Amino acid sequence: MLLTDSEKRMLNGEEGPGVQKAMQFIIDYGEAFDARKLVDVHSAHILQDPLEMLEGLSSGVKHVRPLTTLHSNPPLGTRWADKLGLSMEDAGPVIENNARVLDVYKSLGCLMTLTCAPYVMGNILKKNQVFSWAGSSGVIINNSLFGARGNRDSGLAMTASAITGKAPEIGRIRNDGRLGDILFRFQKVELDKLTQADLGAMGYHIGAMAQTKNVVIEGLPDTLPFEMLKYLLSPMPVSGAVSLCHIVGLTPEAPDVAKAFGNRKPEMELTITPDDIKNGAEQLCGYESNDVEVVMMGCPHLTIRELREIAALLEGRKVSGNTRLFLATNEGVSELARRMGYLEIIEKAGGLVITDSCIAVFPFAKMKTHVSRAATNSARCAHYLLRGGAGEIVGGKVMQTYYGETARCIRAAITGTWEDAS
Amino acid sequence: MMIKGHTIQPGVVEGEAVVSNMPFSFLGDFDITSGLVNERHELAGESIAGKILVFPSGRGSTTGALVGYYAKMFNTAPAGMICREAEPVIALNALSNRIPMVDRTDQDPISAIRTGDRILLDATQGLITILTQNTNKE
Repeated sequence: MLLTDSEKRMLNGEEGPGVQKAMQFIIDYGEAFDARKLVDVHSAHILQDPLEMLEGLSSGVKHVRPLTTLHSNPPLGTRWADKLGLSMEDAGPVIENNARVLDVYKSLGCLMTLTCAPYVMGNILKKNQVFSWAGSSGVIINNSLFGARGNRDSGLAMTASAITGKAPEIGRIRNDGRLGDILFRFQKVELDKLTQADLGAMGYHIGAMAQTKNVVIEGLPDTLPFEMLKYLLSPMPVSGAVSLCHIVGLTPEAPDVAKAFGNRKPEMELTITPDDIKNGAEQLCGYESNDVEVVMMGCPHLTIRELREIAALLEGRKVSGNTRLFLATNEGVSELARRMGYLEIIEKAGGLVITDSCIAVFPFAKMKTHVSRAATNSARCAHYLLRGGAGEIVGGKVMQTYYGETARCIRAAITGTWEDAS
Repeated sequence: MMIKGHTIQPGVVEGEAVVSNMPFSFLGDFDITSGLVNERHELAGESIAGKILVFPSGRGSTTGALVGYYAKMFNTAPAGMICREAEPVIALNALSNRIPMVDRTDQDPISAIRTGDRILLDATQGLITILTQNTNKE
């Protein structure tokens, strides 16, 4: 790999042992994908590394180089644990050193956003800028909607990029790694009637079909708001490993189909039918009783538009005594919602807005009262609820799961019952 | 039989293969408590703990590598991994947690290797040797 003089100095340890380790990791990562050089990173977003690993990488480091934000945390590691009804006894190893790890990152200048949607808290990219981000939803949103460039980074990569300011020039960072592979078109789908849950189910279906390939979708109306696109894109890297989805007419690099494919022929052309959307949604449900115990939304974290919509649906109503309503967002959006009175409406109705937390890995096994049935409007979240996250030892529990659009979830919270589709 | 591939994470390990046609995510596709693969995956009920996992590529959230760290802590991580072609999350899992791994082999690993085969994965050299073929399973 070709390194610049300053990169060589980092690798030789001239900027301290942490920078050296981080640079070595970035090079190892690059070599695994045949990188020929490194590029500068404009933005990092970190899922906290375990303390022992972080101590190695941060040794002698004073400050991260690009603008760096921090990812959402396991709910057990946040100030909401008690209000959520979680037992802190035997909380498990995942949160053991969480507070200390956060302190280290903060001392390095990382912004304590604790969200999977840092783009609403100032970590925002423009076309062609390079990012190293945790959170596969943020990655696909950055690549597909903003035209920024980054891969599905994981493990030590984000911290190493934040410390060195470098990333290997591979995959979606390269021009040739951004061209479309698979073309999706619609057949008999009523595009003007698509709900948020339809888009999530569609994204879930597309991800499973496309796996690691770059997707191109032709035919979506360009009037879809950001939130609808968020639900379309964010399941693609859950059922699959998609990190770039060109939405023709919307993605900066995809004004038309030919440009999205760089004038090459698509590797595959597939159609999306109403049945595909229905099957996608069915795969995200699995329940034996219609009594909903928890309704959870905010995967990815709710935007202010969503919280406003939810507050409007809840105004003057009450969440059922048998059901709990958890809404996840970040501190920025939550504070704005408080100022606007939305939080008051939601709290009065009996809902709970939480921050800093990832609900996709909600530790249902640690709930003080036994809970086994949860509803969500998020395909991502439903996928992980059905699978119990990473397992019981970290609080995961396989849940009976209901998947449907926001309004249906709110009705379930109010009545305590999941309405089957008519 | 010898298969040659490309090194993601060096290291030498011998073990039993578990082969999947379906992509695999460390978050959601198995339980780090038991090492057992989730019911909704093609490998449902198989343990990957200490095995050499053979699969097309990774999928799922970028939390995967952190889950791999805890899986190692609980001794439920695979001993090695072989992919058709790695995507970043699965490769970074191998790199961050030092799980020997190769991809881009000269023969399709998913048809060349069968679940239950005993294999030697020399990820440093990029070599896979099938030591004993499993004759019990199809």
